[in-house]
Amino acid sequence: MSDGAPILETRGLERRFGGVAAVDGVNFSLRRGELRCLIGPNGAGKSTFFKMLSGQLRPTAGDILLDGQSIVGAQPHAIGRRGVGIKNQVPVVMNGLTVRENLWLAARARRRGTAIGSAIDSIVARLDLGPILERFVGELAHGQRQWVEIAMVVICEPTIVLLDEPTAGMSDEETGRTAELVRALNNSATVVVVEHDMQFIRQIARSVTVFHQGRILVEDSFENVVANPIVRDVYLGRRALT
Amino acid sequence: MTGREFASDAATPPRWWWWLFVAALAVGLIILPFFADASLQLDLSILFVLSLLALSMSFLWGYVGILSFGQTIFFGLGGYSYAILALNTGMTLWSFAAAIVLPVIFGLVFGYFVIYGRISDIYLSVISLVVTLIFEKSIRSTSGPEYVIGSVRLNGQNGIPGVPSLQLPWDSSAQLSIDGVFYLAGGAALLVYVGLRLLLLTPFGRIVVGIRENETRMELLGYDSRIYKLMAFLLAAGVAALSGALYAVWGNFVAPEMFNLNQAAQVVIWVIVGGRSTLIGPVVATGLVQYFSNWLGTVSVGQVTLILGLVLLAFVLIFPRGLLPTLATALVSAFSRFGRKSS
Repeated sequence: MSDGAPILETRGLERRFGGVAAVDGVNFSLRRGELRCLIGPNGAGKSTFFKMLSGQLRPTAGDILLDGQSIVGAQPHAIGRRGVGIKNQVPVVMNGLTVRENLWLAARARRRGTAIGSAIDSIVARLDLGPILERFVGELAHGQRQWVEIAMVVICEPTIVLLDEPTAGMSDEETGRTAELVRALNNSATVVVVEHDMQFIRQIARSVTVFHQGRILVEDSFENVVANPIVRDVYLGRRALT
Repeated sequence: MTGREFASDAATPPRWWWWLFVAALAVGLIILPFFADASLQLDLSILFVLSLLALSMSFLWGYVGILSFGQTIFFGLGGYSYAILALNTGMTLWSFAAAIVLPVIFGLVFGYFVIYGRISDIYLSVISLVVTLIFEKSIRSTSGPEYVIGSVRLNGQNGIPGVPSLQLPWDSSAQLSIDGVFYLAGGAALLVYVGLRLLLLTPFGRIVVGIRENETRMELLGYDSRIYKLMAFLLAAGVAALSGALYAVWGNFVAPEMFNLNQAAQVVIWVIVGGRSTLIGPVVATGLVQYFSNWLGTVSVGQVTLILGLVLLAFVLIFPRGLLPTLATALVSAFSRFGRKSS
């Protein structure tokens, strides 16, 4: 469903913590319907970048355009209502409540009345959450908590989905299902995924953006990025060998 | 039941036995004045009044996750508003209503700045404590005859005596009797308890609990957490103000002690002792702590505060989740063991 117009764009985006620039002048553009992967070594600024896109952090400089309109300085809830859904690196869920209550709160954010129940039923069936529905989220394994968080994002029917390391703590089988889910999500939404798992990226990605030291190093197709000697040097080299 | 500090099942509708419990409380409340003498009614009335303050804190801390160390701001403002208005106008019912509205308006201003300013939780606790102490110190320094509102002298640390009791709505020449005050305070406490419990079942209540659990996630989902927190804060302020106004009606007296550190800390202590995961726990704890400190006073051990402090310290160490939740867990596990043996 790519139609060429950028749904999300950043211009000279920068975030400093004290003297350190975690994100240092990023010009990023995302077309509607894209499925993009962000990779880069730890500390490259990927999570900081995501937090600025979702309003959790304010940029020190630069602009973020959502559908051509600046969202810098907007509250996170306003950005959420405009269709940006994010799964953070560390699961941001209601640990003290049941999976069902977590899903209810997510569904209630966009719906009223009986639509809430049917939205919960459909996401439970889709992600196979039935067996853990009455469990407390805090008691679940890390991978399952990730699923709950992804379910909460998906239930809001976002137009842009930001997934920060969605497969961390998941088994190979779960990772495979996540890849399927991400591809399915991409049918109705623009998706950006931060990942380290090359196997996973190979399964889903069409284009890859490489972050390094707060900047975009390379942006290309998966094959070209993997073959790129600079990328191998800063990131893949060390990882691909292990 | 698991070892949780906060309630995780607030959205689950109460079971039949809860309604039975509420009905039993209501019946007990109605018939008690027929058996109890005036002094017991007065003692229980003040417990009901303080229970409202405990409920206000219990809801705000246990379910919204805001630890306002200064719920006494609204308690004191409620009391003083009633005293000053009732003495000036003689219209006690209107004064009573205004004594709830005025503190809530103050809460709106205060809450707007701390909540919309995104002051972090710990600072909110500190700021609210400081504000209640500012009220205390300011009122203490109004002893001079120049501090008059209408015809009422503020009297500094001596407080305002002779506050009229409530008039009966149908006969403004008659004042509320002792059992009238008992019914009013007990009825208010029971209604607020039931009201708050049922509020937690509504979308508003569930969203507020979600914000307690994870404010960031709720915002990312699209909820403006600030407006929900402010509404909950105002509700708690209103309940604390109701408690303060009833305190003035009960004792015919208000004093700056309503705002002081002792009183502010006591509210926190009730909730710590009673536990944050139920609404009723802090109410029970209010009774126990009040009874215990009164008893310490009568056996003249001296150092009441010191002994009370040691007991509370022991409580926090032995029952970190509070008395009632710990007892409930112990009972449930004892029953299930019993059930296994007999089957």
